[in-house]
Amino acid sequence: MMSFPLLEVKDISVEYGVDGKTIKAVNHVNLEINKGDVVAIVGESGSGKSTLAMTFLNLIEKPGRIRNGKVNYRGAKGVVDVLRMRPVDLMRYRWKEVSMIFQSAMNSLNPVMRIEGQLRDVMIEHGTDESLVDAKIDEKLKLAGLTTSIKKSYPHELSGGMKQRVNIALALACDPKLLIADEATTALDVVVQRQILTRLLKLKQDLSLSLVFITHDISLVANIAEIINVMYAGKIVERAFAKQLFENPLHPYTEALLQSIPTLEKGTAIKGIKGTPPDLSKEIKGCPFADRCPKMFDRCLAEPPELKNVGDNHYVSCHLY
Amino acid sequence: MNSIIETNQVTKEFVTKRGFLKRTTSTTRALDQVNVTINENEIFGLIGESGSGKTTLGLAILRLIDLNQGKINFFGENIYDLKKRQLFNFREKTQMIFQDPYSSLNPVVTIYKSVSTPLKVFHKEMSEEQVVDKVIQTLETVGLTPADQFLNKFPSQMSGGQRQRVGIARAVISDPDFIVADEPVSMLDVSLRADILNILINLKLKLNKSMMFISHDITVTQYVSDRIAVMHLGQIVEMGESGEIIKNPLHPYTKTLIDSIPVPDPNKKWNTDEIGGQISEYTNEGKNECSYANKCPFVKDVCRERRPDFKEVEKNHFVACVLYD
Repeated sequence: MMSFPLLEVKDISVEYGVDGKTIKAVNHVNLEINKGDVVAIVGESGSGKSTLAMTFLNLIEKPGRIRNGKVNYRGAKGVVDVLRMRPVDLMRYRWKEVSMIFQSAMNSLNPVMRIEGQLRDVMIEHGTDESLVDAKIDEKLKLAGLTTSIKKSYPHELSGGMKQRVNIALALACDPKLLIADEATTALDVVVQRQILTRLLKLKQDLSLSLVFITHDISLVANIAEIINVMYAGKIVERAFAKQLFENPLHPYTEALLQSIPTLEKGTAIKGIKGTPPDLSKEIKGCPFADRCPKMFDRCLAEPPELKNVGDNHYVSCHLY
Repeated sequence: MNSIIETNQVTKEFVTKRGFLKRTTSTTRALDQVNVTINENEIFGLIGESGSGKTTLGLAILRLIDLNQGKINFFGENIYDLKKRQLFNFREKTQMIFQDPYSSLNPVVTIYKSVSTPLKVFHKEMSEEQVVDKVIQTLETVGLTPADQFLNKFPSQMSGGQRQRVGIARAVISDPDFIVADEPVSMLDVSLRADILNILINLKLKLNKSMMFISHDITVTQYVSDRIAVMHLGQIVEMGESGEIIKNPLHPYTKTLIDSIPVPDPNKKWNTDEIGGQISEYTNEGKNECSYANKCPFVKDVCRERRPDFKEVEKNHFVACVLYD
């Protein structure tokens, strides 16, 4: 039997219209997420990784607009395109099917509302039975690794790590099938970061969740993600299983990215990547990485490479292959 | 080796008032009897979680805050005793690189103006041409080439990595002996960090600067530092050569920190044991106990009875923990 993806992104493009310029933030991206997968999307700031994740929930708002493409979600009633859902269906889809832990999670809680109230709001708004809400609040807080006593607190009374866990509890409030963590631990220190990630992985096992990690830190996802997508200038430039990607990075950008991380082994010099990412408001004729690439040749400037399978489900978009 | 900075029992308390009519006060010790020595031509790394007091120590060493107790010597002279004129000289010889390259540069002032300001303050005798030459030369040291193209730019026209280079240029242009770099790469993308770190190392190697490098990221810190001190709730709990701290961490807190670092190796299994239990908020209230006692997996009764001594357990490797008594 063939397995169908839980979420399938087809040829999606997103643009932002700012100051009369059009910025192509996401450019013809295809992506599949299967049930139980842990998928990472890695890229520098401005590579379009957060914008891509927003399309999973149809959250793109002006000045952004979705140029073309589909986001197919396989729910109980068959496959639906999230981007063409009626508002009432979208309401049932968000939080209940797919939910998100946001980047600035530290600031995404309502400062004048107790934690309890925030969880209650989400649950009731999305159709949880009133009589069950109290029990569910306790359950979700415990799942996120918090003591239930904190439900009476206001966000400012909690530390950064605790607020982040409240956000996890919120994201789990309506039992989603897919959880997107957008830089969920970037603002936290390493010890707390590890506690949060461990918690998420445990939830994945216990609740058979699918997880999408969005981060700029490739070393963070090395041992938690199964599949890693590397994004650059609005495109996925390489996709592989974590092991393949680290042992045999094919795209020169991935290779450079891996060389720029400091490790604990003394004496390995690290190198930055020369230059800056391209201006996405301009038309890029060839490969977007061409002017920073050490292996660039004529063809790179003339035509854009396609994302191709070069064996063992290792995809790369580079003229070298 | 000569020491450039020496702190002696440095303590700083912050008092917060709260409650009805602000009558209740609570005291947090941000720095608790800190003794560190930073040598000439050394990068001294300071690591710890948020709220551990690392930035406060950086500010104290530059005399940007007042202390409750203790003294800090700069080339043997207590900086808190300096008079106006001497303090002015001290300001020239010490500088700071800030965390956030987006807010530490004045957005309505050109790069030239930002970078040349220290010269205009400390070297009034320099002619305009000399200042321009010096600015260009400094921008080139930090990798902003061709420098003359950057002079009239505004911060908004530059990327985060370029702005942080401007921040470094501004800090080194007055030729300071000592620089505090407070989380200089934490706001930057991973691919840009490497170059900034290499610039900092070159400041030490080529220009003989001494530096305190503050960060919550051990991998980054060990890459640039000669020695590392680990801070927890205002106290230094471990200090030693950076390679030694990584290979042979002694304090339970340092061990947890090092275990938590994500390793870019997909073959290493992620340890799914939960560490440290519940996250909870503790502050240092100046109690006579080990600051890590509330979280430590090896805690004993004695840890709550007195402060552990800060002892040299191995050569140049200090730790404050009863396990090594």
